[in-house]
Amino acid sequence: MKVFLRVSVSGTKEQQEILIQSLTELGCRGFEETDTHLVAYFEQPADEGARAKLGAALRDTIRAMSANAEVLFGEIADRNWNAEWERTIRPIEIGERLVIRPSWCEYTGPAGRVVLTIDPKMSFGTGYHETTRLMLNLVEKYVRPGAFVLDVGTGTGVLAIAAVRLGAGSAVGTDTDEWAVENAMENTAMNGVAGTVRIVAGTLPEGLPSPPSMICANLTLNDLVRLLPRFREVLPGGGTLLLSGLLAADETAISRALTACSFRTVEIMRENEWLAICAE
Amino acid sequence: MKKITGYIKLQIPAGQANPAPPIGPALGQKGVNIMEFCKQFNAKTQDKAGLIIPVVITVFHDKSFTFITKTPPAATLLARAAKVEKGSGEPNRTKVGKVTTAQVREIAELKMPDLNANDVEAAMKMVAGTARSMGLTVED
Repeated sequence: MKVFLRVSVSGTKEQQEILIQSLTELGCRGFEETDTHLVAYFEQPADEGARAKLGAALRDTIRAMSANAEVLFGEIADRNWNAEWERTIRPIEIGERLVIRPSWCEYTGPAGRVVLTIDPKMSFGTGYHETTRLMLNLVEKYVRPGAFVLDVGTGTGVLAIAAVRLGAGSAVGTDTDEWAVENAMENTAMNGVAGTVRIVAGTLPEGLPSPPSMICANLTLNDLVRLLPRFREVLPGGGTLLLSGLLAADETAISRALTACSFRTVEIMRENEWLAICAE
Repeated sequence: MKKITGYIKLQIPAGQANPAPPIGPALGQKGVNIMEFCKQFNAKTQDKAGLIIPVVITVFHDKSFTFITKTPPAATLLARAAKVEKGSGEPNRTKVGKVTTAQVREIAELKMPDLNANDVEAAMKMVAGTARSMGLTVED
């Protein structure tokens, strides 16, 4: 389990600004501002020597900013920080055929819908965000019976699981986040699809059993633009590409990138400020 | 009108929000959906890759939230302009780099919305002060 180093430093606004720059160069992951202190967080190195080196560099840097600063060091273990919000999740109907529910809450709506059980554990993909709903709508509309689906940035695994439950033959879900990989595996088991949905750490895995007939990617514009040439290589002609994580303001940029990679936009779905694209 | 339960002030690398600290503990204890914040923040700041973005998150009684992003810290912009990694430990004696007045003006203009300055000249004085505190000289 990851452990984070918490460093709290007092100082003036100007001192804090300078410190933010210096601590970022030392690998700080982000800062919280309180009324009196700047609180910086670092991923604590597993190696004892590296930990000591980081501690010494921090002391030197902070002392250089102000010899009088109050400095407090602490450690904080990683955990599911989203647990409180996740407890509020209730079953949600999506599209014409899907329902997503957490394991602790039964769906009591009309019969006939495909019910997915998803416990998120700090991963993205609960159905409570516009982009997940848009992608699920597109999966429902475009997935073909027996298809092989690749879901890049799978999060909870919800798109890959939904694709298989809606008729795809098999799916691979990938994610670079270790929480997501573990969580998606748990969710595939909970939905009885662990045999047909494989979860892999990474982005685009080598040695796929066959070329995918559908790729899903709910990421960001930058990630998608970067990955589109790879998607073009992997996805055969006639394959379906579903993209989201895109704001309405991203439409021109993603359209240009799709055209540059010889993709044709088939449909754009929108909800509030977000959009999802089906291309081939 | 929704009741506000608190404000959270963070400074996070653009396009790189994730549920690890500081975001996880800060938002999680208020019952905010961390993943939704990360998705929105990353989508809205990805064009500022490489910069630290200050963000003020307003949390409401029903656990919903809104946020506004601010301009990157002057020190970050100055370090980038001067092509140095960090400021000097002894800014009065040891200089680590230099910025031009034109660069200071550019940063001041960018920072104007977040600075307590009446005009660009006043903002430039503040930015130049930060530059000197970092051990950067300001040259024409």
